[in-house]
Amino acid sequence: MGHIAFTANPDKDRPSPEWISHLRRRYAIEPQVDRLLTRKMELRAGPGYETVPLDRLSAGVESLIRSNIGNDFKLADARWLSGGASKLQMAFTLEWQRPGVGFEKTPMVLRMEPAESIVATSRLREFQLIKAVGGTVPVPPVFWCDEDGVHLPYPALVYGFATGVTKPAASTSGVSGSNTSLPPDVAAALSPQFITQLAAIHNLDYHGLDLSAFTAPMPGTQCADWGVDWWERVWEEDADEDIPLLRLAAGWLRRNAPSLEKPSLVHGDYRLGNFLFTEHDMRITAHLDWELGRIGDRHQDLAWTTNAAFKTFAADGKTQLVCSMLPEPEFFEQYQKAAGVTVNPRTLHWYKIYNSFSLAILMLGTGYRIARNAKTHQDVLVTYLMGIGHVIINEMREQLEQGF
Amino acid sequence: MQLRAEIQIKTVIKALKDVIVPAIDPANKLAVEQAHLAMGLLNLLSTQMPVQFRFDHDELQRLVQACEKLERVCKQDPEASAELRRLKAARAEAQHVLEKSRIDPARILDSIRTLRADISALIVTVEREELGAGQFTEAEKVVLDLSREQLLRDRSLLISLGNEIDPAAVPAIGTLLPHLD
Repeated sequence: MGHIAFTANPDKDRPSPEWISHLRRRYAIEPQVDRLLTRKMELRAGPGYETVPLDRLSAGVESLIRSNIGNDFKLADARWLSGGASKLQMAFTLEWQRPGVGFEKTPMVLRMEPAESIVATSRLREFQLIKAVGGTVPVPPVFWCDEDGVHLPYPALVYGFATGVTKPAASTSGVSGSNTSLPPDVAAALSPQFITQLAAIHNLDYHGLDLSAFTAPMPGTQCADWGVDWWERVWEEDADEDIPLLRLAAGWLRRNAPSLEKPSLVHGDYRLGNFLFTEHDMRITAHLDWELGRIGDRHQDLAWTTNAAFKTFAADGKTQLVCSMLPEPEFFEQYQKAAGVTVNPRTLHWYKIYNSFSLAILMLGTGYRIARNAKTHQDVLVTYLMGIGHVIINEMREQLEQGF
Repeated sequence: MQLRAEIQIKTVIKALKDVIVPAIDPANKLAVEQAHLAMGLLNLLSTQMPVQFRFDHDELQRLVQACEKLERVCKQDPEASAELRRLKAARAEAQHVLEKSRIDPARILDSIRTLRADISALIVTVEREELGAGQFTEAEKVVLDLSREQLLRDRSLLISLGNEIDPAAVPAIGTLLPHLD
């Protein structure tokens, strides 16, 4: 378990190998996450994000596909997709002989990292996790992964284009899908699917599935300890102006780390805005954005989904609705019924603080660092999102004051 | 407050340069010209802001010196007596302002950052060394109290971003900051 490394004024924009090694030794985290963060720091002093023209991206995708299926395909109709603060997305159509199907014009999406993202995650982990849950909940099919950016300028994966919308036409929304307000009939139709599918992810027996890019935590507090060390290491790597409250929170999280009862697949960002649904039948068609997924504690997802940042007010102007769908007590009642488990309020509270801790670090630490170094295609958006950090961290303060 | 003007200006310029300006129809001359003017003014602002205080302080200092010289030059001129009296009063007030503002505001920010880092380091040490429960609880309360007040001001300053679930519950920033001399 790590404690904070107060190295005297490290140059975070040009980190030395010694400082990177020091942080790696200081914080004990899941091995694959350690590799990701190390890679991030080793590349930091390199160039910022350079706009990649569509034809160059198309050529990279063609190279990736060719290395997997040979030359018998045609890529057409490449175009940018908007949305998302962390990754670039390009839609295209692939004309090919799809295994088990025959000739098909398959709509696909390239999902690629910028030079440095608001959250350093692995495309291979995302690829494996989507494949793993594919028969359990609706997700887009995933096809190919360029884990190390061999074919494309940066690491990327290719998945199938899923139909649907993240919010109905008759809704309001803030930046990057925050504060989306659903009409009551839409909320009533989506919430049962939203909850039962979350329970299904958590109850999925992942043993025997190809999740080689993940390490399951040992029984006890390793899951929680890995998490706290992960995010505190990110704070050390990225933060500019320190925040004493975050240091206080890290200490509280370590002192009160919960024991993991049963490891589950965790989505990591399960909320309104990260799934698609079709408006004509109100059916969820695909859960997206699995990049923060891990093998961990289901309470992490439950605490994330019920975070105040993703809540809106009901028509009465008083009742807060989880992901603009239903009040928190009803959400937990329905989840427990669907999952057949009891939610532990102490563990849930711990993960609420943990999630606020990690989200504040991403917004205020990483958001600042990558915008300062011009590392993304969305620097202006991540700067805008820094403003949410103060709301998140205030919620964390209230949770800390509340105690158990 | 991490979301300062410098990072906002830098990223807005990049968005204009990389995404917005290239998307403007070249036939729309007015839009092209104004987009470039907007970028030019933002660039100017980014270079101007860090030295603006010293620039103004320097000008005021030289104005005061010029006033003193003019007072000596014009003291025998009865036609200028009313203006001279007004100038003397204004010069005295300006001298007072200069004396009160010898510290560059950048040093306030430096001190903020230093204290944030040092408080953070102390909190970690207090926790690690497992001081008496009472002492730790008191230190924890100090940080929580400090954070409550500061976060209220942070959120109020950023209220226009629309991130508050209940914006009416956050007081206006003007009511939270004390007036300075």
